[in-house]
Amino acid sequence: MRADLELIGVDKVYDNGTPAVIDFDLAVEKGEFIAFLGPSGCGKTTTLRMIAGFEAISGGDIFIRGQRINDLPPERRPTSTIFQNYALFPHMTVRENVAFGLEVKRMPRAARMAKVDAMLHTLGIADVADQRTERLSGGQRQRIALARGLVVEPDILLLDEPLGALDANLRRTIQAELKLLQRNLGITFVFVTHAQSEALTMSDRIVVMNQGRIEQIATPYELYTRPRTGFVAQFIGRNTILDGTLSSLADGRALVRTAFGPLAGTPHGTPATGGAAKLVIPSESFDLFPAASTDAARLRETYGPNVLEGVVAQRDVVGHMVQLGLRIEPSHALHLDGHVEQFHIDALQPESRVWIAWQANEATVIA
Amino acid sequence: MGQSMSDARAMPATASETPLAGGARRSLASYALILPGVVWMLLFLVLPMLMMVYVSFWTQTTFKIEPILTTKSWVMFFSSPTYVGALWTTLRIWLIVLAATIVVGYPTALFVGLFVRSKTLSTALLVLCVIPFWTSFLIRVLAWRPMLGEQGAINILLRAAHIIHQPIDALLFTELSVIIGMTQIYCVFMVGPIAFMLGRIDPNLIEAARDLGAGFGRIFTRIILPLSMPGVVVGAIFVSVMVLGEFATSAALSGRKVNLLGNIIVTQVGSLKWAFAAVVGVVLTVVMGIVVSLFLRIVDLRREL
Repeated sequence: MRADLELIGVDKVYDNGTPAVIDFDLAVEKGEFIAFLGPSGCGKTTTLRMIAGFEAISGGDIFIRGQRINDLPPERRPTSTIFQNYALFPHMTVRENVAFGLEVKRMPRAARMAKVDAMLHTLGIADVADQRTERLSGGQRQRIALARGLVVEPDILLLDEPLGALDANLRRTIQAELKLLQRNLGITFVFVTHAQSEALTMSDRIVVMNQGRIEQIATPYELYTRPRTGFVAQFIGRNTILDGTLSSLADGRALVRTAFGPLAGTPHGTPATGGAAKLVIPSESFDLFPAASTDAARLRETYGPNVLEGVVAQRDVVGHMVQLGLRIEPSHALHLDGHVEQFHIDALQPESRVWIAWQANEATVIA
Repeated sequence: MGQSMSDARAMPATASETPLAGGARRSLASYALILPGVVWMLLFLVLPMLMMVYVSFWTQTTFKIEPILTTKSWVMFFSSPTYVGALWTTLRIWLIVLAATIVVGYPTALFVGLFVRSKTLSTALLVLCVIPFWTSFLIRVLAWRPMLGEQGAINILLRAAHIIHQPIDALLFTELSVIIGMTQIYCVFMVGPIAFMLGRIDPNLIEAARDLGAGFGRIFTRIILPLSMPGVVVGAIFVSVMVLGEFATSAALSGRKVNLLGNIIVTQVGSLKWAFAAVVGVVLTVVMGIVVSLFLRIVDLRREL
């Protein structure tokens, strides 16, 4: 089966010569929830607008269900867009807004109204159907936009930061609803966001973008545990990144020479022996042992070379959470937070010495 | 004094009264603010209008006017084919000019307000529309004579292009020349408000409509036109009020063949027929009142602006 949505080497160069999107490759399966994640100006919205047809494509091809759509105007593409500001028609009622797409398709009035009503019910906005949109709440406006986009049965729904204007509580509710809706409808969703929590909770796969380029396409879990680039390691999760040189590469283990000695991790991507490498350790992977309770030699039996000596600089217990500031000689500050159960916090008094250790398979070595 | 002080002390005690009292004080201040405006309007709008209605019932003889009430002037206006004809001519020319300013003005506004993406350029274009107003009204009107005359620019060009062989003499000193002149002069009052409303349309709305499959025709009729209606209504009110009260354009371009209510007022005032001029003035004011209130029914401007 062909992919629902396929982008092959898509480029976007603005009229003034600035490249906005560079060599974008992506294949999306039907029913997948894909997020474009990145800082503002990374090209994620531009890519979405190229799929919708609002931006011309400078290079490459876009296919929807095998049909090349490069030259189709937006009105003839099988996509629906949910705009960041919802772009509801202010002079129409909720019902008229939702019915607009079907009216355009010349669907008979009775069938159109039945379909619109069903969609309004699905999204729980039937009670405001005959109101104008201006006075409605952000959540309701969001649902109207969704209803208007979904009622025309698009192959692909494109969402441009649709939760950005909602408050935190509503955002979580709608996240859950959106995910459920997408699963029930089986429509491919492409979702643009700069909030990693949104992308991580909802998406099947995430496309991390930076400065117009794809940094990594992966599931949230893989993105979290196996970043492929330094940018992803910094952008996603709470990772400690140590710079060094790759000294050996064997049996799925990479050894990096760092300022703290040789440390091991799992290679990802294409780090080359002798070249610069980064060791990425997720915050959750650190195990701490009070220096008094054990010695390095015993720990190395379990953790291999990944045992460092540090000093507790700061310890703040906030309810059941603990925030630790650690100092690793010669000069690295490490901040960890976790559940009080995870660390032996009683032994971790300020200025006490600790062993900091992690499993090599949980750390990632990237170029 | 003592009373007001004890009031002031009592106020915070009852919380429910505080906003009320505050509201009363605020509205007192706002009354003071609108007082000069109210006085101005009373003295220079309401009073003169009442005066005009009053004077229209005075007795007019050839050389003097006396405050003896009579309906003679009114009867004369509505029984004379000349004057009733002038009323119909005024209404006809107003409707034609209104239609012409919309037909010419809307596409211009559409271009300036919606299709020109750069704000600087659209402002520059609007300023261009206003440049003719830097010259005097009379010059702008009279400039149409060498354009439309038998030996005028249009006839010369058409003959040079061999489109016509005899000069068209219907161009000047006819109703057509009055309509052309007025359309040119008042068009900008239509373009401005429409361009303003069009400029406020969120470009995302048009993208959303395209995204839902709508072509330009449907986007125009279902989105752009309804959203620009307040601009059309405001422009129509501007144009209507000015055209209904017009006299100079018809005086300069009609060769005295077209008589509008405004022209009659000028003539009657010129021959010191105050009572009759007042009748025409009242008729004109009533017509304008009806026209403006009809326009305001189309769109709820308070909601849209």
